[in-house]
Amino acid sequence: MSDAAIAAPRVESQGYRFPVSETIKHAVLIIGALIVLFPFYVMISLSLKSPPEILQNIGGFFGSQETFIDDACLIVGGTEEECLKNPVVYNYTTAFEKAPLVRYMLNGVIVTASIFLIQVLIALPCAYALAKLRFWGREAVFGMVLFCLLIPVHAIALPLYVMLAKLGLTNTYAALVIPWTISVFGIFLMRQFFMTVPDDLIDAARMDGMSEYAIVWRVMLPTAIPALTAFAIFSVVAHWNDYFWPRIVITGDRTLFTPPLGLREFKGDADGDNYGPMMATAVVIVTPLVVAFLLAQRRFVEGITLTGMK
Amino acid sequence: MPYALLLPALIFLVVFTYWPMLQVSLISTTDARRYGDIGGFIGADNYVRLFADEDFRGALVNNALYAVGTVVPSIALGFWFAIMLRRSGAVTSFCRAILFFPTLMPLVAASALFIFIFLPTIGLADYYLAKIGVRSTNWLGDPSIALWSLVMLTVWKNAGYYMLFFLAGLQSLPEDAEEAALIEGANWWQRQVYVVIPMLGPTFAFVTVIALINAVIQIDHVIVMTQGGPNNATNLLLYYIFQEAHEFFDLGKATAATVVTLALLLVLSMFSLRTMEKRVHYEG
Repeated sequence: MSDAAIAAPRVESQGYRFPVSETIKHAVLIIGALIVLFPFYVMISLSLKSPPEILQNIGGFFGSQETFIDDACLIVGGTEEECLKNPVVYNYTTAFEKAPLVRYMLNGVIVTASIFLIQVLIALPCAYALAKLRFWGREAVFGMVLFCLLIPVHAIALPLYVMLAKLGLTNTYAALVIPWTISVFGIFLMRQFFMTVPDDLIDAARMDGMSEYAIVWRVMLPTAIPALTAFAIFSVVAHWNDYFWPRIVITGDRTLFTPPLGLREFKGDADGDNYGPMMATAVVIVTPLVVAFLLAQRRFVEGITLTGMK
Repeated sequence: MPYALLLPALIFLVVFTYWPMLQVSLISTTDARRYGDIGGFIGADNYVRLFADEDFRGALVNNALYAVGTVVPSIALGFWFAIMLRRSGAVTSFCRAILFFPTLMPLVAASALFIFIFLPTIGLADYYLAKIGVRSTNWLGDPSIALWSLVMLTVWKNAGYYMLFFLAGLQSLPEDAEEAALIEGANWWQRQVYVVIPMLGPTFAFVTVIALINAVIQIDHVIVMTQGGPNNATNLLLYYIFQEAHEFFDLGKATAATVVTLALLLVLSMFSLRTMEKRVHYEG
C-alpha cells in the first residue's frame, strides 16, 4: 500500500501533458463539488432567515437579521412586542422547544453507541476465526455470512417487527438496537483486515500461552483500530440517520425518538413558517456527524484501504 | 474452539436474518392478514394476487427505473471523483470531505431540504432555472418527473459514499501495470479505461451490490416527499411492502412482495459479482 501511495503521484503527474483534458477534469470536479455543497448552503441559509425572507427568496445567505413578528405567538395572546423575534434565535430556539431535540440526540447517542459496541463484540471473534483459523466447515460458514450481506434488514423488517412485538419490546431502546447488532458488513470488513495481519504475531501470542479469546481482544483488536474507525463511521452514520426502522418500532413514546424522527415534528406543516426551525433542526442533527467525520477522516480512507477492499 | 468464536455471530445471523427470511417465505403461502395470525396454507395465491395488482407491477417498474437511474450515475460519479482525488494532499482531502458530506445528512433531512428546493415556481430549482429562461417545473407533482427528482436526490446523496470505496481500491492497486501502460505510450484516458477500470473489477462489483441494495432499502425520501405519488409514480417496492403490511394489513401480499424483492436483489447481486469479478481474470 505504501508503495502504491508513493508511486501514484509519479504516474499521475504525467497526465499534465494533456492540458485540455486536465482542465476539463478539474472543471467537472469543481462543478461537482459546488453542486454537492449547494443543498448544505441552502440548509444553513434557511436556518438563519425569517419566514418572509425564506418564502420570497431574499436576504442572501445570512438574511437581513431584522426582527419579525411571529404569528403563532400573537395567536396565543402575546403582545406585539413580545412576539418580535430575531430570525436565528427564533429558528434555533423553536428547534429545541417544539421537539425535545436534546433528548432525541441523547437517544441517538445511546442507540448508535450500543449498536456499534455490540456489533464489534459479535463480529470481531467471528472475523478472526474466518480469517485466521482452519476448521471444518469454514467455507460453509463464510458462505452463510456472505449471503447475508445481500439480505438487507430493511427488507425483512416485517417478521423482525413481529418478533419484537411478541416479546413486548416495541417502544423500547432494545427494539432500536437489537436487529442491527449483527453486522455482516462488519464481519466482512474485519475479516478482510485480519487476513493482512501476519501469522507470526498470532503464533507468538499462542507461544505466550494466550487463549484464542485473549488473542482476539488483546492482539487483534489493537491492530484493527484503523479498520474499526472506518467501520464505526459506516455504522454510526447509518444508524444515527435511519428513519425507516425507528418509525416502525417507536410508535407512541416520543421520549424514545431518534434525531431523524425529530424532523418529523415539523412534517405536515412544512410551510414557510416552519422551514427555518426545521432546517435549524437538520443543522443540529448533521453537525455531530460532520465534526466526527472531519476528525476521523484521515484514518477513515486509510482504514478501508487496509481492509484490502478492492 | 473456533466454533465458540463463531457461535454468537451465527446465532444472531440465524435469529435476525435466516429465521425472519424463512418466516416471510412461509407466511407468503398462507392467508394470514395481520401480524400474529396463523393462516391456512393457500399455495401461490398471494403471488397470483400480487402480480395481478397493478400497483405492485407499477412499483416493480418504478424500482427498476429508479435502480438504473441511481446506480449507474452515482457509481460513474463516485469513480470519477476517486480518480480525480487519488493523490493525497491538502486540497484533495478537503474535496474528498466535501464530496462525502451528503452521506452524513439523514435522508429525511435531505428530503425536507429538497422539498423546498423542488417547490414549483418559488423553490430554488425553479428560481435559478428561471434566470436562464427555463419554465417552471412541477418537480414532485408531475408523474413523469417525480421519480427522476428522487433519482437526482439519491445520486447527490450516494456518489460521495461510493467514491470512498473506489479511493480505497485505487490505493491498493499495484502500480506496475499503470507504469507499463505509460511506457507503452498510453494516455491518461487509455490508462483509466484499459488498466485501472479492469483492475478495479472487484471494487465495481462490490459497489454495484451496495448501490443495488440502496436502491431497494432507501425509501425515507418516498415516505417524506411523495408518499409514493403522484399517481403511484414514485411507489417503490419497499414502500409498497410497507403500505400493504402497515396500512392495508394484507400480510400475505406484503410477504410475497418481500420474497420477490429479495429474490430479484439476490439474482442481480450475484450477476454483478460474477460478471465484474470475471473481467479481472481476463485482463488483470
